[in-house]
Amino acid sequence: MENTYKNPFSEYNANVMDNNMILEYWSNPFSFVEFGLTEKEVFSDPNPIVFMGGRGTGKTMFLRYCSYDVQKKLLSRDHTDTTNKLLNGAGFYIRIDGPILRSFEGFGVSDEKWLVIFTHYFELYIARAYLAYFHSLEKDTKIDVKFTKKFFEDCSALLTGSITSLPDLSEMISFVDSKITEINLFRSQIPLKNIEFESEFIYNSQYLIFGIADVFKKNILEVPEDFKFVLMIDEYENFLELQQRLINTLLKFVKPGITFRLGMRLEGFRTYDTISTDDFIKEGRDYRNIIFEEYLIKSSGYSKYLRDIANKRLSKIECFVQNNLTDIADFLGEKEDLVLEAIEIVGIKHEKIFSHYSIDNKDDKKLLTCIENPLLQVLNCLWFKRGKTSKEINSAMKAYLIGAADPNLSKYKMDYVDKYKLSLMFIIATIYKKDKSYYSFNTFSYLSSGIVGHFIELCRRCFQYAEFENKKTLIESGNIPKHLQSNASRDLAETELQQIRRIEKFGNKLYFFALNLGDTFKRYHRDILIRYPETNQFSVDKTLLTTSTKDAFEAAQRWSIIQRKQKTQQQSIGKKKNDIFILNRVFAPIFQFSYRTRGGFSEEYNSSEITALMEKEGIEFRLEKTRVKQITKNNSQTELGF
Amino acid sequence: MSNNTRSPKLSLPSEADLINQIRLTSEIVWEKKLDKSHITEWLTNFKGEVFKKSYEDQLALWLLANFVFYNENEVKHLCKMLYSDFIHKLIVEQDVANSIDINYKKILGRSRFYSLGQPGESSSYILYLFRQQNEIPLKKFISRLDNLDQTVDTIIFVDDVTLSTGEKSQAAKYIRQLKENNPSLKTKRILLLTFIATDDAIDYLQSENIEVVTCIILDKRHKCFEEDSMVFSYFNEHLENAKKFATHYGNIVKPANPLGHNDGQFLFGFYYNTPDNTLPIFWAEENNWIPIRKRYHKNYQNKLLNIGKYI
Repeated sequence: MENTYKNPFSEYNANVMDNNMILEYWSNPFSFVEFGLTEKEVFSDPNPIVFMGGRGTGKTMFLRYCSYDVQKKLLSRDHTDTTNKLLNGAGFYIRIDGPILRSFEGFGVSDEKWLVIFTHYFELYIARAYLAYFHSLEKDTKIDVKFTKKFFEDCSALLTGSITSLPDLSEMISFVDSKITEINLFRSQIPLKNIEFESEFIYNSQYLIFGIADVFKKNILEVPEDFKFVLMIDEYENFLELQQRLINTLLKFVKPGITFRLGMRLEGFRTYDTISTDDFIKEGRDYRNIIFEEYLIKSSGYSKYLRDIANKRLSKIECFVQNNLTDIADFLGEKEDLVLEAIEIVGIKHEKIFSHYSIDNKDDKKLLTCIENPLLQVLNCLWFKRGKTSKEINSAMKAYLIGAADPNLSKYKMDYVDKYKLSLMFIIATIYKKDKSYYSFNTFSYLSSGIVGHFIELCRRCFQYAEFENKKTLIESGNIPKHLQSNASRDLAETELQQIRRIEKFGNKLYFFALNLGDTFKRYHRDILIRYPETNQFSVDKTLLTTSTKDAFEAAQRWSIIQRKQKTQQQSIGKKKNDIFILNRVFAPIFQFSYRTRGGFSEEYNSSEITALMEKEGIEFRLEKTRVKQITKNNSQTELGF
Repeated sequence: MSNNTRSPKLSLPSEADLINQIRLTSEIVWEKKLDKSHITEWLTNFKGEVFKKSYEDQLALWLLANFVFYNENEVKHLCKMLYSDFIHKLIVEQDVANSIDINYKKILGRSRFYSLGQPGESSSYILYLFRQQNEIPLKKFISRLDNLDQTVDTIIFVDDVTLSTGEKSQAAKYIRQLKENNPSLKTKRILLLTFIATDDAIDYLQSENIEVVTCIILDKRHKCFEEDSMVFSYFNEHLENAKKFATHYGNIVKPANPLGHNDGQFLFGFYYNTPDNTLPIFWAEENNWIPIRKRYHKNYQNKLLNIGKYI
């Protein structure tokens, strides 16, 4: 049975998956997450839609799944009868590699000329996709589509000006290929030779992209009324500014029956301008913007979506199916057990907690001790420091533990269960100089921070650890020990942190930004008074950032080092609303901060502080400079002043 | 435990870090042929007889982390590289750059491949992979040397490693014997294509009129405990301790060659076998030693071992 084992999470890059794998691993996010649009609208909405998200959020998988090639395979796999039917549209997945896009600039050729050459290239590129699609329809005997003589004549006329020069689709495809080759040859020679681009035909923007679509709809009787060509352009951030202006123009002047879906990183628009100097595209008016991460992070369906992705992969591994281990929680556990984790750290050394809170009195200590749950003992110390008597605390604790009545029970329970439980765990880790562990399906869902790729990578590393440790146990029992899960989450955090330095532009600045933010949040989590529980977010008014800092800040967003919370929030109670950002939670295991994000307090930064955070030295940690007001009886946490 | 343990200033990476490093290598290079239970079992061989048990484990893991394992894909790649180096050598010699295709066919037409050693030895296995990977016609491989075509002027042997010199050179010994049995071989050009060779072995075979084409040349730096050893280039303070440790345990399993055949001191192995020039603490089985990479010895006697298990 061991022979059928393979790490279920070892393949996850949608760029290199073939169409069969896309189908095999596909999990429909619309089934779990509310994106603000329906699955149907992805095809039917005539307005362009922009899908933004960091690396690994599932944009490519999503766009590729919507492409005609994969949809056709899906219908065939599910034995849906496609006889005599055209689908209501055809989606074309378009991804042009960055180096190719970047080769359309420089070498003494003016921007104007490059724009003409790229426009010509892009028209041909899309025309090639259309023609390949028609060709596949023509060959598909199940679909009753009659390509009339007029269709071929009109297509030929569009491409060459003559209605007879290209009599069939194979000829047309060869013609387009030869034109693309002319451009490719020019691109490869221009760095070395002083040459001019020459071609018998040069196509203007929209000429083929809208023209061929129009010919198809006009001349093919079987085309449904609402048929749409959906051009799905991925990695839009790689397009140069001039190239984006060209495509932005297409977005703005989109024609009926043809529309665009763009996949890009956050802040992936280099420009909102169009070719026309006095016009630009605007969200809402010209396109809809769907930010994957923001929807995924906040959605309660996100963890269900992840579970579905994971379980699909597990169900492909025969030995797991045989052992009935096809739920990811069988391997990772559903949720972490904080009490057990605390007991394991504290052992019999309960006294240490008191010494950290400077509680010396024997009687107090006796009343505040809680052997069976060290988290409660820390909470007791915290209450004691906030002015409650040890007797009051002991009574509330006992009431909570045995279910008796007590005037403070409700607050005690709320503080423990709803407010501080995780923070108390961080305090225990701090007091005992241990790292908090990051394990369980629930924790991994949070750690992935809305990035599906992170979740898959966390799982992959866990399974790799477990296989190395004991493959037989993994296959037979499924259980992956929490220390291995924690190692895996830390490994990924380290890898992601180190990779920041490799980012071509602002790499070092972004690295220090992550490091300084992480360090700041770590200190909040080590504050034994828990003045600001689980603080891992900050607010900034981006419009006030200097240009260079803003560029670096946006790069941090583009690379998902920081993530914007979906709605602007008050930085803190009583303060004005601003954009709130979190440090990607995948880094939490390094800095030992919370894997989840709560509302409440945010660090507030101005432009110069953001600039300083991108330097090695960072900025001074504010909480250490604050003074806690004299504690009086009955004052609560919110009454503490600084 | 010895009392004269030196305490190097720079510590080796911790046991946990080394195991983690080996884990990563295990997934990519070892193709999961190595797991923690194997390693833990192997470490039980080291009983703290030279240094503290924990330090011995660290030394053993450091050596294991530096062990170069050639998996199946890499061996196939070596087959391709070797063939390409061989063709390149002959084409360069003939100065035929303008008509490479024709001359390639001519060269191949006059050459035959032959196994270095008896059927069943590693050379036969390598020869099979070599033919497959380079799509060489089957008729270019011969099993007899006594009825060679008159046009054939080059005999090519293929093997995985050639590391020893002099009397210990198995390749030289075998080819010498072949020449005695087949006098026509004396007038042929002899080439040995080998994945890995030492510079000394190449020189020695050259003196025996055997030309060597190889992908990887090993020199003193590749010997684990030489002064310039690459394994200890950073942690050189541990070199003497590691040698002492490997010699002590090597003596338990291979007293004649505690650091490998012909004092090899090498740290590498293939997915199908481990050369005996590699440190025996990795592959030996004598005296209840638990190997981490088993070596399949040649059984030159006519004994059928453990036949009972098949009956």
